[in-house]
Amino acid sequence: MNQPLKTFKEEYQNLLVNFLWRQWSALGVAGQASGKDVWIIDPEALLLFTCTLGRGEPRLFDEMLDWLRENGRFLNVMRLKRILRMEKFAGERTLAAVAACLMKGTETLKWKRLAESVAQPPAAENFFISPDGKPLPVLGEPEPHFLRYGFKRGPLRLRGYSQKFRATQPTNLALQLRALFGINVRCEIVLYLLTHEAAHPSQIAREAYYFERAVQGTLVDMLQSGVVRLRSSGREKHYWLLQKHWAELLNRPEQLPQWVTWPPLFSALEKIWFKVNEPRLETLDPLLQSSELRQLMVEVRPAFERARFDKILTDDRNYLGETYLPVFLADVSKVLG
Amino acid sequence: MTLELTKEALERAFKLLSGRLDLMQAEPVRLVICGGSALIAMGLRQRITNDADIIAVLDATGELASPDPLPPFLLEASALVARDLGLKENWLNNEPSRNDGGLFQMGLPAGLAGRLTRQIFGPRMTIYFIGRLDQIHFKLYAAADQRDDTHIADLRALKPTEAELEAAARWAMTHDVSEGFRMVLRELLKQMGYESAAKNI
Repeated sequence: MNQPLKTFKEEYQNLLVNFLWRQWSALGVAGQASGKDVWIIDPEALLLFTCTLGRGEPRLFDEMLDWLRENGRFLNVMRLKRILRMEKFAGERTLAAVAACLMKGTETLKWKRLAESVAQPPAAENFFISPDGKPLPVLGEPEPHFLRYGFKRGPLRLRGYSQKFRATQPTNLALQLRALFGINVRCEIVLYLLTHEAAHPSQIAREAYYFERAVQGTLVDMLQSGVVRLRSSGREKHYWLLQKHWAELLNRPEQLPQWVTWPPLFSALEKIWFKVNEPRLETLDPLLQSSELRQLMVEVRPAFERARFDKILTDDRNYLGETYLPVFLADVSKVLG
Repeated sequence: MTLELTKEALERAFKLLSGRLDLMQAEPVRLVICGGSALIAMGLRQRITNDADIIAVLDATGELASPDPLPPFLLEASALVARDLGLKENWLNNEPSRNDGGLFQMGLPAGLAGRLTRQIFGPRMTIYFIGRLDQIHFKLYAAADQRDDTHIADLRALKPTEAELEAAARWAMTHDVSEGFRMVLRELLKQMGYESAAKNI
């Protein structure tokens, strides 16, 4: 394997893991990573991304489960399924196993639907993997929920250290609104309008991963309240609200946090992670490696565009042959940096 | 702007194409290449080109076969190579043998298969470059048909003998049997100083 790619693979893994720790810690997971991020965390997208990346970081994965036990009721299962389907995340079986672990008490029905949406595979594989992609040994009796979905891992020993999410932390606006309004489309609409000057229903539906008809119909009702306002631009209707008033209501005197459309970005980063971890990639000569990575970026660029991270990416056509390899490495690092 | 193919660039393009076919686990391909890229690869002429013309393919039994249509996986792989190396999108094409009037379809020079030079780029890709005599055939035909100075320059660089040009002219006349074409050929041969070949046809 050529050294730049090997080094990048390690750096990429570290960047992703640090990023995930930072995001989960901001939500209330017990951990050391801290950050002063000013963007809103999308808990569903984060869960889906961690279902894949967390397999390489057992402690984070189990802390996430711990957090979900405490805060899982604020997650939107319908939205989870929609993001999973639309962005083609790879961790569907892991998500089903997570859902099975969360089927307790009043939350049973909500997670059951998710847990039952995946067929059980014929053979089981080790769930956790080492940084070099090799399966980690399973200590103790395999955990039955994970085993049901084809994963062997040790018993769950959740520490119970996760906290309730901190409502006024900038990153937690989505969860704060859900706690206030419940898990529904109104909440997602308000979140979107709080972070955008004005928006068309189709734009909200697309970026919040809701059905357009539901968003459209709800906005018409919300308009009646007099709180949500309408601005017509030609034949297009753009909805908006007075953000300053909402910031006061939500105890957020500082500037409201930024919206990021995380699902396509995470999906793209997941695909990159899979590609750089392909054992076959290591065996290719630098020209073919560059070709593979260029092709990958051509495929995932639309996802970066939807997440509005495409400006970070270099135009690969200016870097022919092997000269693209360092450009790829720098671009991906920039996204997470 | 697309890059031109030198001998080194051509080798690199074929090598990458071979790698891509391996990654796709594609069916093996055996491509017979003519034109400028074959001239360059065979060291018959030092120049550049911007494409590689497939005149035929060799089937699994080693027989020459039509390259029309090219398999979709080959087109897909060559498009990726084009993006990787900045080549024009159809840098690898079957232009010379694409339709009923194509060179393969109308008939290749006798004995062409025996004059091919094989270059193996990988388990899924072997390139066969046509020989000098066949280049003379195709270049004479193209020069007379298209009146293109590039073909005439290529033909001169091949330093053909009177006999070779006469054979090439006779073959070319099987592709265009008109009296007008014979006249053009005669004129061209005379201009190039091959009086005997011109007289004989």
